[in-house]
Amino acid sequence: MKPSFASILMGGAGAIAADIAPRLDDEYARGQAAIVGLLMTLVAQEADRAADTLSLESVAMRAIFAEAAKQQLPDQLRRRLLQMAEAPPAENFTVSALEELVMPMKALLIELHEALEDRADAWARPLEKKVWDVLCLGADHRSLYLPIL
Amino acid sequence: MLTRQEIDRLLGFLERALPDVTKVGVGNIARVHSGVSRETYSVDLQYTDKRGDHARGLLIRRDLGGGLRARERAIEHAAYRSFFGKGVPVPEPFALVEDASVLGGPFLILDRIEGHAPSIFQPDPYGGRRETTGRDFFAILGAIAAADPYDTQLPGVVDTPAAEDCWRRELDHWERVLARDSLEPQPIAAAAIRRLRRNPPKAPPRLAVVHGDFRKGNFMIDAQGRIVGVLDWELAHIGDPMEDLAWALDPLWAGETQLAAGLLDWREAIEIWQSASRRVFNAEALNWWSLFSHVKGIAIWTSAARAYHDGRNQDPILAFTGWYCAARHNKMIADRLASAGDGMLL
Repeated sequence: MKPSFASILMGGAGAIAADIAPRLDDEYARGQAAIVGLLMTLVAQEADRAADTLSLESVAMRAIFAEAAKQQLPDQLRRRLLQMAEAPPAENFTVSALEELVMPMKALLIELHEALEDRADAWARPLEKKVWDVLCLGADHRSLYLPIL
Repeated sequence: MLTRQEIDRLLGFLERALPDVTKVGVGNIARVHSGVSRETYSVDLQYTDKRGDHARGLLIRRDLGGGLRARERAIEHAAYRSFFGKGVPVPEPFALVEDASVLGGPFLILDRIEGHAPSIFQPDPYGGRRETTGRDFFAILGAIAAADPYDTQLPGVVDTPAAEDCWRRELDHWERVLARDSLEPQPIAAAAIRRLRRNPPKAPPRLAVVHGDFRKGNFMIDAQGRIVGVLDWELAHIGDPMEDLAWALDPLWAGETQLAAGLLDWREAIEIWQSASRRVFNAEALNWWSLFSHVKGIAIWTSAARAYHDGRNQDPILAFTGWYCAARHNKMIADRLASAGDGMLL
């Protein structure tokens, strides 16, 4: 067994808080060390889940785009929704590659969301809810807590 | 840290700024952990004039960010001059120096206030005197809202909107900041901005001075928990007083508590604010400005992340706020707008 990213980073943050910061004479340096320690705890929380969050968002957005492309939306928007829904799936699962993949999807999601808000049709509300579902999914999965160090 | 040459130039400036001075010295120069957009130094000044020897503790707040920062520093200086000695505890401003040849950028010199700034990172920074600090917090916020903006020096450095345009001016500004600095599309903030534009608040009956960043971390307390200094006025402007109240009440500053600003019971907080401000609390307007505060927060954190990403300023606090605070505000907006429909806070 090898230590996980999270345990290494949390261990490092603990060492900064307990062993390093108290030995620093300068108040400013102590404050900076504390923030670096906190940043390490954030990375510890995000490292393992970041790619998963992006993958889940990508799948959920594609499903919304496919459904929305069948609705009475402007032709130009429908074409782009379909294009994005049918784009090749991710082949590179690094966080940076997934971020590149998801970025144009988020831009298109903003456009779709605004278009849905402007529609009074009954079909628009469940789709709008699905947009909020994927936005909440991203916000929930990226939630961070601040440990007391 | 300040270099030897910068300290020499600072001494030269102080010699010119202090009247009839015969001898000037500075010592105990230490960088203070404060703020994300500037360097703050604590300096002990000693000088001699015809009245004798003097010692004075100073804070020097230096910006290296160019023109925009110079304007912010001028706003902050005008706010300190407006409120010093007038019921809102602020440090006495000593000088605003816009000449970049002294310290490489504009800087502000303030009298140092003895106390400490409760940090957003501390779970209980009030040492058992939370309620004392809380009562001061909302009374001071009310006192700022009570001031007539035309009796301050702010109209000389910031514009004065029509009352019905306060919300639009602020929203336009922070939307522009988001558009300028975002590193990725922000669908949650975009949805909140659309919601805010579709449901504008009523105009305030009277304009007020808005501190713009009144929260934990931007005030100093003494050993008894009394607030002895309100700092960081660079976002001060003239607008709707509910804007300041909403920002102060943003859950981000409350930590894990359900208290108003992490300090007081909500009812008591609002009663104190109403009494001190001599204004009527408007729950609908607060609700609008509260959602606006989340958007403004995201814009500020986005700018911090951008500065860090671009290498313009790699202070780790920028990475922290650009990540943690943005994640918190995104979640707050998503929770409010996805579930209730009207996104009500109260």
